[in-house]
Amino acid sequence: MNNENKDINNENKDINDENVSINKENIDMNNKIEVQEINDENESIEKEVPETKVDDVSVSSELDDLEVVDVSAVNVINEMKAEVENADREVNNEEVESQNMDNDVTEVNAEAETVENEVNDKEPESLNLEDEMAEVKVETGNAENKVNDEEAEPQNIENDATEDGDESKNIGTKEDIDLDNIKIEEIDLDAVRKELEEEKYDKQKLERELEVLEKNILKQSDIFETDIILDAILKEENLISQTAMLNQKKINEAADSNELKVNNGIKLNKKKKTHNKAMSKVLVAVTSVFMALIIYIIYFVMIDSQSKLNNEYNERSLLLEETVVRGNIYSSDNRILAQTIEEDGEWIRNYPYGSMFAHTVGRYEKGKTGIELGSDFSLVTTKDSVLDKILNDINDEKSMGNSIVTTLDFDLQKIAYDALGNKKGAVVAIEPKTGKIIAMVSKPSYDPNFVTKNWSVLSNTDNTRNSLINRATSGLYPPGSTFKIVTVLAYMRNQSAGTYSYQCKGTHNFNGFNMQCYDKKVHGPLDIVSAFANSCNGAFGNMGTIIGAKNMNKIAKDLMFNKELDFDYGYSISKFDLGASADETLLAQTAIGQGDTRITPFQNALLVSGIANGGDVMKPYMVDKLVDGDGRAIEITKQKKMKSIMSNKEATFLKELMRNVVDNGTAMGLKDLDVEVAGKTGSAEYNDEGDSHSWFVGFAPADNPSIAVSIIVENGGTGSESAVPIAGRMINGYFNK
Amino acid sequence: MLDIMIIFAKYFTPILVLIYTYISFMVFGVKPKQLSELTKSKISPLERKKRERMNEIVSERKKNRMFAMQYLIVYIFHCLYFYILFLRDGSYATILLGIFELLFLVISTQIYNIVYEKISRLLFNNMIMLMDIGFVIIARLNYDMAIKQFIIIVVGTTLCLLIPLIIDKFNTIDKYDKIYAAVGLGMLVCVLFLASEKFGAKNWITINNTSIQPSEFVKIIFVFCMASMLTKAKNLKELIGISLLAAAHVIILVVEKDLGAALLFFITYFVMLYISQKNGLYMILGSVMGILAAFLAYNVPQFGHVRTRVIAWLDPWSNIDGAGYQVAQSLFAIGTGSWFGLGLTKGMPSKIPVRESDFIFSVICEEMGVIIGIMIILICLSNYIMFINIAMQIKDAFYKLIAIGLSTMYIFQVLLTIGGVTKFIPSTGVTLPFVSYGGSSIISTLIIFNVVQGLYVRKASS
Repeated sequence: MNNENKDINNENKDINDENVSINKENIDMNNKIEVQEINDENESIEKEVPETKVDDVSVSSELDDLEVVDVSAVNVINEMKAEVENADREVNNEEVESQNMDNDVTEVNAEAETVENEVNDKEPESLNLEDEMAEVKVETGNAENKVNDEEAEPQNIENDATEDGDESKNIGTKEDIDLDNIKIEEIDLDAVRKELEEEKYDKQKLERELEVLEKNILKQSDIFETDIILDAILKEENLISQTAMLNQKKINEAADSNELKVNNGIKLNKKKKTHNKAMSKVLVAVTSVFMALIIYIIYFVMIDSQSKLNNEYNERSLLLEETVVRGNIYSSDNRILAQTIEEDGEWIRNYPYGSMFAHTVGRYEKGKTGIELGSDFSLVTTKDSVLDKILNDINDEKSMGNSIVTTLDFDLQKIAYDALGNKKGAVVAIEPKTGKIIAMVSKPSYDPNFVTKNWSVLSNTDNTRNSLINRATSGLYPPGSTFKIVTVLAYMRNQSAGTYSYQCKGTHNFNGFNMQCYDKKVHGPLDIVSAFANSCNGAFGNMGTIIGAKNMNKIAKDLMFNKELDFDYGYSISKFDLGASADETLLAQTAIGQGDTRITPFQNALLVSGIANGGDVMKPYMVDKLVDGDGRAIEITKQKKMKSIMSNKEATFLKELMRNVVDNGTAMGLKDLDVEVAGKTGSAEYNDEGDSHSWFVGFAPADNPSIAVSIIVENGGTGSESAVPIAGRMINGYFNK
Repeated sequence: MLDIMIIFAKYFTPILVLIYTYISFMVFGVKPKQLSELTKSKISPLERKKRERMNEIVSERKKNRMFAMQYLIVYIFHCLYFYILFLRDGSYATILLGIFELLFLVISTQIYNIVYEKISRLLFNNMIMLMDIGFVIIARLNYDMAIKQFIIIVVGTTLCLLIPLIIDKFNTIDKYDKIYAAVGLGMLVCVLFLASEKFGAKNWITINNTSIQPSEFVKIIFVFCMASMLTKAKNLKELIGISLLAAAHVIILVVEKDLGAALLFFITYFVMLYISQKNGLYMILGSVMGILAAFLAYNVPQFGHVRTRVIAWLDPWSNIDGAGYQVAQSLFAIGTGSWFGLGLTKGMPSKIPVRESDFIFSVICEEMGVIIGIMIILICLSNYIMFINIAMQIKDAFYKLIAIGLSTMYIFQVLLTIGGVTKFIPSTGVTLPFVSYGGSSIISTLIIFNVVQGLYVRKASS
């Protein structure tokens, strides 16, 4: 019995030996085939290597690879299919996580790395080498799959490029290594035998596991995914067979067009590479421009629009008023200057003080003006949150818009308004240190409560009253003697003012033109102080001829003539224009404030504010702060310097001159007030009959001014006649609160 | 009820469109998960291939979900706003239009997906999003125009269904360079003689009460012409010849005072030239010539209208009742609208001139808000990025140049229209593609999109 067993064992051994040798033979044979095929491939790949080293995904270049494919490869593929199935099962066996696709026959891998690994690991899949061959040979099939992916957005070209670059590199290296390995490879017979036995056992185990896995797959909710994958795999199968046939075709044509294709391939790849670079540059440029556009829009909405939207041509504030009650406008002491009230079921805009603030606060109907216009959108913006707004909407209520607190001093405004009485003219009062406009009156005025009612009269251009115009900011008048401030400043800057002397004889001749001092008064010997105090026309005419046109023009420019002001409301630009060739007559006339010069009362106020504030003119403003419906401040206007018109020294000297006007000069009517006043009178002739506007500009207290005024009374005679008394009442009232 | 809906829509739709745009850009970044090196070394190549295929499929499905979300957003947007419009005027005509438009969106999506499996879904979605914003806004402005717009879009989309097929199958498109030149120039010259002046430019032809703008179609013919010629050009002499031909197009357009189109053609030509010859010098040359031309245009008295536009651009506020009126009103609208808009039907678009076509962006910003306005810009940008992406994948020089040329035409038109309307650049009288009312504009943009889709399909199947 033992002998029998021994014999059987020996027989088995022999069979095993035979098997091993057969296997060895198989492997040798396969190796030989492989070597042959690899050699062939090598040759043609070496041709292709320069092409594939170029980093490009090129289906055409991959198709070119197909030329390399040996006819035998196609046959190998067909034979291998069945064997690959087996190998596949064995592969699955080693992985527990894999979703088992038994029919996934045709999945092929072009990665040379893994081929390398397989070979190095000496895995028992003896058919693996042949697998690799099949895989390499159908590399293009893989590429086709990539291209045919459903709904896959084109992947970034660089990824593909590097991938294929790697592949191409690997094809090169793989060849080297394979050759080496094939020479070196030893077959461990025992190991092979063991593994063959294990294979049989494993196969059974595998089949069982397959069943389990299949059950699991079906349990998963993503059944559809499985189907999709199966479909995809079937498709890939078809593709591979198609590609195989394509390969055949290509091979047949290979000989003729081979070289041409290589050349074209290289050219195309090079072109494409730099084409894409150029395109990326264009893409980056375009994207940057668009980013700039978006940033610009954001900037506009966030910052710029605030100022631009308050424009009379923008009627959209009406829309906002459908859900928001327009806020109030208050004086600095919180009196209501403008409000929205309900009357007979309608919301109307009401001005409790009527025409007194018509030009500052402005009007609402027939075109908004003044603060109503300048803060138009702010008044219909509400601090209510979105939820509040929605609630109001439901309850059919309106939110309360924000309100404006102005810089206007009610009492001072009233004094000025009453003082002007029935006369035409304007008054401006500014705080020199802050730029706040504390009073501004223009007469004739109108009642903004009845604009629509009176519109036909108000808007009639033949109407000489011109009530709608704000004479303070927009009325252009000859400055008269108030301009002597400018002249004396010009003289100071260009000559030595301290040594000026003039003999006044009552009348003066400038190149044939007879200029008289007021009332033909003879002032006698004058220095600069007394000339200014007495407002001597002769002296100043004389100064004008000495200063010259050029210097006069320069000083006018420094004093903001002919220039836009930093003021948020409407105004006229004051004019000064002395031609370089102006003769003595015109020079003299201009120097005393006649000629072609035109100034607004507002500009004049700014000038003396500058003098009062040591040479710095602060930006004038009327809106002190923005408050919400509950009176809490939202935004407070920041004060800022508008321009420095003269040095502190010059301002101090001018202050002295102007003080003297009140102490010893033409404005002595203001001498007895409780505070010391400094100023300059003016009588601006505006026709040939000698009629003049009455001017006064000044500030108080002289040593530390807190108010600067500019007053004009049309056809008011001399400055001391009409304007000075008004100044007196205003200053008295302001300091006697 | 109406007001609540409007306020709700005011805050809700910007969020919707924000999500939509976010998805548009996110899609570019969705790639199949890559296996780590460690995994790669542990498993066999077959297994690896399998896993990679799985990852690819997972990412495809993720993209599909994202696209589905985009459809949903467009539908919600559409229904919400049309409901508001219906509440406002209570007429069934509005609801009917809304329903038909919705049907159109749904059906066209299905048809395109069935006929062309491989189209770019991103481009298609963006197209219907932009179209729908146009639908809503034009319906709010003018019911009759909305109907016309809808009909043109339906007819156009149906006809253009064929275009990807043509691009895919028709292989000799690049051979007809001379025909393209002749037809293009011919059409422009026709306009020169037959045209009636409209909005200060002589580029409209009126037939039977409908006006068409031939320059919109010549845009496409021009790109084809230049693409076919540039790919064949072998030496500098030929290049100069081509450039002169392009210059002829531009000059005729300038004579017709269609400065917007002239600028588009100019820029497109130089971009195509630059990319086909890969020489940065061409761009520098183009910029220099552009600056020279602009300078000339500003100073030469014949081009007074150019100077007017530049002045209106620099300071419209002092010219508000003259040259600056359009831009000023547009800025008022945009500024008042602020981030969330005043709400659909709550604005004052009647103050904006040319509001249904060139200045439609202002109306959108006024009523729907600047957030949605910015999203529109980004959507157009994502279209452009997609175009370029497709162009990069194309190997054939001719088709590549077509893609580049058309995408340049498209994106610069967007830039010119939005830039002009916001005072970023002087206004040039071009429309916002797909959103503005205007048959010629819609159809030419449809053609551009479908040609690019066609190139995408062609590349996918080659």
